[in-house]
Amino acid sequence: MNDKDFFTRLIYGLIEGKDLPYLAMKLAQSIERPVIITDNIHRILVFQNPSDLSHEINEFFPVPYFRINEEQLMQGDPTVLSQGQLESDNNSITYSYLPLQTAGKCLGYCIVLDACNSSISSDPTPLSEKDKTLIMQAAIALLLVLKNKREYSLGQEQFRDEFIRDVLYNNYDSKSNIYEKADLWHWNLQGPMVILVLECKLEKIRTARDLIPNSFNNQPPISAYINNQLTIILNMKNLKKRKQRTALNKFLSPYISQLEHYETGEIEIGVGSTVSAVTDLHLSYQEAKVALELGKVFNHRPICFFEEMGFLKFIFTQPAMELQDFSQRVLGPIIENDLETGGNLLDTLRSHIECKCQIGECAKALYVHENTLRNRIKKIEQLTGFDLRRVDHMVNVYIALQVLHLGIET
Amino acid sequence: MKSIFFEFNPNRCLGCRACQIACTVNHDLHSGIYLRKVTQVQYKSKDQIANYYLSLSCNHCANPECFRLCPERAYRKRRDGIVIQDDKKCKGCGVCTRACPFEAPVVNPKTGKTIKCDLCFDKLEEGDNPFCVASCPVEALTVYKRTTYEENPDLVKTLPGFPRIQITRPSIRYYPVKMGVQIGINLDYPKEVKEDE
Ligand code: SF4
Ligand code: SF4
Ligand code: SF4
Repeated sequence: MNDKDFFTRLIYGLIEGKDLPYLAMKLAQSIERPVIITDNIHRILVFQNPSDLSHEINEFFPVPYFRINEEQLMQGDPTVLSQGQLESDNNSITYSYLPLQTAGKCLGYCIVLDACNSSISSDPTPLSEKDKTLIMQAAIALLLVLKNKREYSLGQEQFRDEFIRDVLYNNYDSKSNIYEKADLWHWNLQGPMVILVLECKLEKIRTARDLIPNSFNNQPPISAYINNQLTIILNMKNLKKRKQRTALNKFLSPYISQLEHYETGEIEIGVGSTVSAVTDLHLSYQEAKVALELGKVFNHRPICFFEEMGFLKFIFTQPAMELQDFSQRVLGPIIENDLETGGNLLDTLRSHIECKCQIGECAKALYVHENTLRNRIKKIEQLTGFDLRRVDHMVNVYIALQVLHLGIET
Repeated sequence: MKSIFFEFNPNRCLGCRACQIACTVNHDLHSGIYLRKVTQVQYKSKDQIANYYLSLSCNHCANPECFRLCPERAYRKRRDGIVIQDDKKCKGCGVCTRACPFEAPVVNPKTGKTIKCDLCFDKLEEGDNPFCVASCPVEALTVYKRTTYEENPDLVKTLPGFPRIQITRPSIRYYPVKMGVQIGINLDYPKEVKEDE
């Protein structure tokens, strides 16, 4: 088979309705190496011939980004291929790759692994010139498919977002109408669900959406872009109430790490409460948005659960002047004392509460001796007239501290 | 799809209440029941005092609390952002009247149900202005359409005298108050005094 035959065969495959897996398989077979195709955020879309690979590969395959000369890509110039190495605890794989880029936009990566098994990985055979030509031929076909997919999914996304928006703003009256439409996209909107609303740098919201993990509770999360925020619907079916929080944290913490890796800016996430039916989803949505706002004000970052906010929400809706008066009455003497003496009793009080009033833990956090801390707490009690061991007194102090967080209205 | 929202210019408003009255009359409401209210605000900053009027109705918020708390699911938010309430579903429990920080929904004694500004969407759909906007002699109150991306940088989201906006995120936008340019201030008007916070 000559190179032209290979390219023609790939294009015929596409005409027959074949997709990415076919292209990757043909390439993997022709060059006898594993082939990975990822999207622009390095999520693996296809992995062909991984069977004899000793290295464990999970959802993502990150490669260093570089911008290629698109002219060279179109001309099949193999010098655009770059080399990389993936390290893990006791193994490493070398690979060749190239960004699938068009009109300045990277749509994904074509990665060819050198390692077929651990013995080879120690001394990988370099790609032959013929292999490189085949990769470049395949890259054009891959780029074509990725571009079509991207355009199609953006078009679909708009319809889906409008549908989700209508569901969340109560614009559907019957459950059956919602289910019927959701079926178009094979979505399961039955059973208990919860809504998350996320804010990050506006220009990174697309990336934040692409990075949403593939699965939560064995179901794909559903997302929509509404009012400059990313909304995520998670299915909570069969998750007992006490397990829900753990499951959410397990879902969110790697997601947040990914977002940070992609420098999406300050991340704020509001989580609504779990609702049992799709017709109540608007409730969870509103709660998630309120939680997000309260999280910003009361510094519950990056995740703020509506159910945890309780009375803070009521405080927030009180007139600002009254709140400030209250906070000043309670904390004023401490603040004045700090100003006069250059001390830091206010920070001590804050840490004391953050450390759940545990002297040992708080002393460690503040790098002071426990007795020093005890003396400071005594001073705080003298100045404010509150006994910090009494719940009724502590509540006042806690609220006054939260009021200090209340920022300027935006 | 573009959202529809109010813009209000406190530097123009005369406090004549034409908007408030036009709304009440055209909605055939009892006197004393208003979907839009005009109030005078006295704003004291460090060394200046400004008096101005605020004409307020429902703000068609991004996070409407009325919508969240209504137990009958009587509220919905249209694609153009207008928050509307279905009086067939409303049982008149009054939860929304307490939930809204702007006191926009009111109980209509005639029906025992709640009623609130719907931005006169039926008039908008016919290409007309809402009654309140059409009646304003100085174009202090206007209606605009924009996408979420197109914020007018000259406008602000809140004014002194306006309740806290952070939770509900009202869609209304204001021209900033210019000290000393408000016209026709009637000093006998009942006013709210706001100090610079
Ligand atoms: S102003 Fe009040 S009634 Fe209008 S949408 Fe906002 S919360 Fe609801
Ligand atoms: S838009 Fe219509 S309902 Fe709303 S305040 Fe104006 S006249 Fe009244
Ligand atoms: S009609 Fe215009 S000028 Fe008169 S109170 Fe209303 S907004 Fe102000």
